[in-house]
Amino acid sequence: MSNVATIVTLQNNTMESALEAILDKLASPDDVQGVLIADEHGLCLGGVLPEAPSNRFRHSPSAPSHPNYFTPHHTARGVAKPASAGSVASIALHARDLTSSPRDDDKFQYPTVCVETTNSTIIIRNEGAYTLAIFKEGQ
Amino acid sequence: MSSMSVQDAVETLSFPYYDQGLKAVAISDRDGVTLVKCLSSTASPSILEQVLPTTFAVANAQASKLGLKKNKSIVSIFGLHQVVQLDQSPLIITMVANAHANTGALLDLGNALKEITQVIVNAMQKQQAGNGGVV
Repeated sequence: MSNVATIVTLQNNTMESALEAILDKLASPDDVQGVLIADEHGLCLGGVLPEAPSNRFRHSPSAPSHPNYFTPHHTARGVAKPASAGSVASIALHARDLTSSPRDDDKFQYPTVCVETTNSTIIIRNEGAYTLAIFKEGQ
Repeated sequence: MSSMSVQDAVETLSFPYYDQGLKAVAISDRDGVTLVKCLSSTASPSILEQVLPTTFAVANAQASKLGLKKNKSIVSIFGLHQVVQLDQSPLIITMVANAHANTGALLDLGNALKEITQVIVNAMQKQQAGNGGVV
């Protein structure tokens, strides 16, 4: 098991490392259930299986502190399904169309969309190229 | 219980995407014979050329040999248009849209259309089995 940990921590400088570091940081708070980033075509920049609660060894004393110990290196995290990237990007772009001022106006502000369900909130934002969605517990 | 024709079902599913840049949807077989065709009001019928599914059939077969299991879909983005095609052997789902349209959303539509075309595929397989494998 410790050999696997060594291999994982040594795999550092791939072209998506910087992006993954940011997503890991966004997914680290306890109330964040998932993070997803989509490109301008509505395609998920990677893909991952949802992380079952039993796989969350982060707080186990025997597991190393690397957050991706049990998940493969992909750029969706947690409950965020890669297949929902298209819908997430679509929501963000439609919300942008609701703002009345044109995009090159100085006063143009990118909207943040919150989708609230009974138990969770999804926060979606697009600032030009990429769309970010954060799946949070509670409201 | 009311039943809908496959043409109507495809039309109903595709309609919301016309505003997002989708121009045409076609379900055809590998030889380019069209079963279902839907066009947005701004698209001309000539946008769905027979070469689209026939070329996809070849590319799909080759892509399945890359050692990554069976190829599911191919997206081709050109200057003004994009073509999203899904394999639903023996059928092919083809969608033509603007280049800037949401590809992820089109792939979602394609997967939804697969549920409709699965009905046709099942019927074809049943008929082939009924004929003792002879078409």
